[in-house]
Amino acid sequence: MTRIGEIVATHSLGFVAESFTLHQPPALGSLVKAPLVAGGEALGVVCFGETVGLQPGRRALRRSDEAVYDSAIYQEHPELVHTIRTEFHAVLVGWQEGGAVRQVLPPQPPPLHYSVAVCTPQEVRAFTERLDYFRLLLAAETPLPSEQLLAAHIRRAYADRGRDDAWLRRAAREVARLLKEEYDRLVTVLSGIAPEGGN
Amino acid sequence: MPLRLGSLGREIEEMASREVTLERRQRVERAREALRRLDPREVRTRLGDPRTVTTFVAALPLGAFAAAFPAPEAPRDFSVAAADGSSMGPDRHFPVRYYVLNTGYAVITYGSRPGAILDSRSRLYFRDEEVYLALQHRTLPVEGAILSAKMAVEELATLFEVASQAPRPVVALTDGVIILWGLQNVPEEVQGEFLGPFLETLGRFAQEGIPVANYISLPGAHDVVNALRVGLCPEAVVNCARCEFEAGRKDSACASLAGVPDRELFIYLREGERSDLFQSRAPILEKYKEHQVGFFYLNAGQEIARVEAPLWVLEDPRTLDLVHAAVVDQCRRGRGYPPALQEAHEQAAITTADRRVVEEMIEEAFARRRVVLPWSAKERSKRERGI
Repeated sequence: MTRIGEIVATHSLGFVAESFTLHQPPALGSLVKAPLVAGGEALGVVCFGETVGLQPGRRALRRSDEAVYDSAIYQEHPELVHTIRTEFHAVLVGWQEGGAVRQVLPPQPPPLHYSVAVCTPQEVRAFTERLDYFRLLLAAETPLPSEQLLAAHIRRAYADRGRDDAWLRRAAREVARLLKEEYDRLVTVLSGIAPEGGN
Repeated sequence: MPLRLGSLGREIEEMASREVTLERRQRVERAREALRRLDPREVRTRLGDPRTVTTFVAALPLGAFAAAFPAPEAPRDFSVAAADGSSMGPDRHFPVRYYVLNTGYAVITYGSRPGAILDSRSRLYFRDEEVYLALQHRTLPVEGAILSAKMAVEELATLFEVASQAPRPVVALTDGVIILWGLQNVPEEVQGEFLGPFLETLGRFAQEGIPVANYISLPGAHDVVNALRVGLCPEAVVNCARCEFEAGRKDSACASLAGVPDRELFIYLREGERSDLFQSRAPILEKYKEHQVGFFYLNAGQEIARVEAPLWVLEDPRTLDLVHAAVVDQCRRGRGYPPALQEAHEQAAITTADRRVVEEMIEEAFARRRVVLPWSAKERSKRERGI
């Protein structure tokens, strides 16, 4: 298991983790996991990422000039990496234990300070076989519109499943069913998941 | 709203109108003119004359009054170490006497292998010999000036420790800790208590060849202006105690410069340039032995800053150039203020929440031993704010 972050806030609907790599939270929509005290692992979809000052109240100031910009700024100001952190948020969509996968909220939130890891393609494949959790994602209260989150997630899962076109068609039909009364949201998701060069 | 802003307003207006007057502008102009015109050799002779008596502290010009030296190029690879301290307590209203010193530090390495260490050291002092200073005939509580001196000693010791482990060349910066002004008005015995270890640490810096300097933003010192006042004195022997102008004639050449801060003199410096060197003659320095302190003023980009350092730093052109170059480079990187000092300060700061946590930890430790700590009734009433 490759640990990518540590949980710094947690509740029944999701958690916030500090990323081990600065500026590189896991991709939006990717499936991540965190251990549960009672056994098994909570599964969440990454719904937000940000890089902010470590101490509240310290704002970032412009550091660049004509010669020094982008990554060179960090060479010129070696202390910067110690004053900022990258965080990501995940909404819980299910949990797994001993090979069984459940697409409901886990009984407890994952514990504070525990590790977060990205799910392996096998785990993604196993979890995304059923699509009941789309409902949870569409209802999630996240900083970005839930249809954008769902589209990002379907794109990631499609890639993790090795460009599984049959699954993508099934996912599209499920989205159409869930959003049949909300044309605008439906179009947003469908245009967000259309494979490149197709529609 | 108990603070009556209306009545403060009138006084604020008066304060502002007094600061911004033609008379004050003329004072500054006269001081600048004296800086250009006066011969530093004459001022040196006068300050060296044992008959000279002044009511103010005047700096000794070691070179020219109005010179300017451009910043040398900073080395390709170098480090800057900085330390800053803050304290919590002692609190008279808390039932046990203790205080916490938190010394923050930053070591930033620039060049081909950039890196940074930002951290702090926290210690709680509670033993009798820590919270009281036992002198020959009496005992003094460690607070106020004594606590500040203790913090300065800790700060300099931590600074030496982290600077000596940093990749060379390294410049060590302190925030207000070189001339221990606070010790000037405490009993000699107390001075000795803190000056001993303080000077010992300065000696370690010297031994290791690590330049240490104190960076002062918006300096309020007047000692160069005071040197000009000595130069302007019309008497053959400068003796403020016998000054005939003191009584009535306020427009004497000397009095007409009083109150002008040195920083107003050095606005002719261009960005990165420093003034010539001066030696501080603060009374406490009589006890500094081989660590006499000098200073220069510097255009730090957004203001005229003052950099103080032991003379062994300033009189060696290599360490002088290194300090000058490193400080200018720091100010360029930090938008006018050295980032190493800023980060050391961030590490040192004790927030209100931190304070509360420490108090709770202490209360809990006593509670586990079945002792409830009673706050003073006054403090409790302030916290409850019942109506």
